[in-house]
Amino acid sequence: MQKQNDRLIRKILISYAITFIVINFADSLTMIVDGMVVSRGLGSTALAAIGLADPSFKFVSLFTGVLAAGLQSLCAQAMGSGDKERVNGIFSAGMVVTLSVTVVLVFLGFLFTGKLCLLFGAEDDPDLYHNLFQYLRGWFTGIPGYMLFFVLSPLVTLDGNKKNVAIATIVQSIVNVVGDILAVFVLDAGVYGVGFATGLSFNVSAVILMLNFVRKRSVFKPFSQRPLMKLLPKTMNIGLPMITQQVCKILAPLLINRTIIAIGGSLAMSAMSVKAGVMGFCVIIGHGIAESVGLMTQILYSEKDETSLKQTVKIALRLHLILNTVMMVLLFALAGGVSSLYFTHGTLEWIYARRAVRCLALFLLMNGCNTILIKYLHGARKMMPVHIMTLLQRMASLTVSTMVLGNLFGINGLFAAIPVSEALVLIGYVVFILVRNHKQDFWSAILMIPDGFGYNSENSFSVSISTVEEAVAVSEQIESFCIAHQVDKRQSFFSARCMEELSTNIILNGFTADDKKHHCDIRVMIDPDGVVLRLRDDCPYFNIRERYDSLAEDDIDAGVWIRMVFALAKDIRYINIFNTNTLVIRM
Amino acid sequence: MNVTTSVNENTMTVVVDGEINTITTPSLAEKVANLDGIQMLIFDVSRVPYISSAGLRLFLACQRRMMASGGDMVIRHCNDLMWEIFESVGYDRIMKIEKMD
Repeated sequence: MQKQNDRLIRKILISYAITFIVINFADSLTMIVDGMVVSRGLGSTALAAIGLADPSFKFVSLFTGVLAAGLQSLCAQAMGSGDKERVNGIFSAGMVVTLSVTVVLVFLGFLFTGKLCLLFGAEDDPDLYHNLFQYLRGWFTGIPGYMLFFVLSPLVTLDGNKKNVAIATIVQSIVNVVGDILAVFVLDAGVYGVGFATGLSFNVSAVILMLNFVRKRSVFKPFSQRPLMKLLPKTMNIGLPMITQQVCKILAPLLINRTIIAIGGSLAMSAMSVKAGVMGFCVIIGHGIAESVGLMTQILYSEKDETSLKQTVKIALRLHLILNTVMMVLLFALAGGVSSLYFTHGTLEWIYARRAVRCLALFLLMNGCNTILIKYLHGARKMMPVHIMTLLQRMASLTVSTMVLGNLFGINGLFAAIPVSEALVLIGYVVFILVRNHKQDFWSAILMIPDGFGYNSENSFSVSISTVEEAVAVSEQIESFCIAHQVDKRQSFFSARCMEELSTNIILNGFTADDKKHHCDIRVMIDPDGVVLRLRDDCPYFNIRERYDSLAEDDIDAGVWIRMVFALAKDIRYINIFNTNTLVIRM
Repeated sequence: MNVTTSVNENTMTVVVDGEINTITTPSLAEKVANLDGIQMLIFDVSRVPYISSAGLRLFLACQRRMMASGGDMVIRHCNDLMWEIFESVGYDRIMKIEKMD
């Protein structure tokens, strides 16, 4: 029996981090292969046109980013309290907005394609204009799929079907690459074909994602509830940091690249391009873990589970530090080899590229920590700190570091700015927070957990169990815990016994349902309204509410323990989160 | 949990001292495995603080065996919390249960 319930947290964190890492890896690989096919098959003008089209993706991403972040957060909160109706009300509202925005964007995109080509910089080159026009027309057919893919992916992940998201992403990558190859080398469809392949890949992946909702176990049932349109402003507010992020992605290069070229010329810029290319792969682990933290924080924060929140972040940071220390050492050692992929060994370009890659290696640990913190803060809906940290990390700190260090140390200062900027953000945050919240313990301060927040070690009891003997022993502890917190004898007794019944049956039936190792986390919380029990296990799907509803009233043999628990508890809610069976019982 | 059984003519009295839960139910089941010749089965639960669903199923099984052989069963000295458990699964309607005085 383990006092902390971190076994399940660790398992969920790692499994979701792996999914996000796979998704990010597929994305990065697709971009590289895509570029290679186009440059080889259609030439540099076509590749330049695709590069010019990038703002159109970023513009559409503004909408998907805001909607996805906002919807995921609100749905996670509703799921945390077991309110399926609210989940679907929010989901329906999100779908109404997504589809409406999609129609508008497609209409405007097709209507103003020519004007967009001029806006994106193709006005002086008819060949470039033509290529860009064709590409945009091709990719705009995929706007519906693009919108749905990015809005639905986080929701399907929340629904516990991360396998579906990984499959959709991988299929999208395959369709994109195969489509490009067919368009360029077989069908002679040119740049339009490449754009169309991109659009088609998103349409196909969106259909795969939507298959999730026909699953019986899916919490999300599109339009099963009236859309809760009144929650849209809140959705937008939660999603705002995504706009900050996108704006920084657009503005930061404009500010920084000028400094790099002014101080280091094209040599420094080419070294930075190598760094940018390598960075996409190197940050995958840290960012995958951070995405996982963000997802879990949304649920745990809504459950006011302070202990689990702290455990989640600690485990995530530990995992990130271990894995990325290895990555850092490897990258540092192999920086020369990496640079050789781009430039001839020993040349000045190679030397600078190697320095840039080594500085990137040093940047990884702090970047991971910052990203984990930002994702946590976003999951916990600390919007102002998220905006500030995002602005600092993605623009301000890097811009200032580049300018100052570049002017002081020349081209080497430009490279040094890569890790220094991240260190400044991390140290700045930690120092500021600890000074501001100096009366709190370290983790409560860093995670901005307010005093009196939800359930903590004073008014809650957490344990992981794996045997029937432990279930019985914990039952006695629960009764004592409740009595010690002035819960009346009857409620204390039945809280303990309900927990014993549920956990015993999870172990006897759920643990043996397959050959895998399972965990059962128990949490008992005391609030002004009484006792709240939460059980979470990673056994095969078992919805106790569905089972209870299916019991015939006169069949006294079936489901004795279920009838007992439902009769003794005030309210029982079941939800499947992160592929775990989660029960929230109010006694 | 301790279980003592006594047989007087065709009446078996089973006195249970302790919780009847998933762990202890099998040992209680052993004690009542042989009901040959028993026409009345009495469970004295005055010293049982709690009975789990495993214990409830055992009582139901004993009830059925007694009825099949033309006998009867009664559960005596049931405290309020135990009574509530029997009531929650509807066993108060199909078993003879006497509350504690």
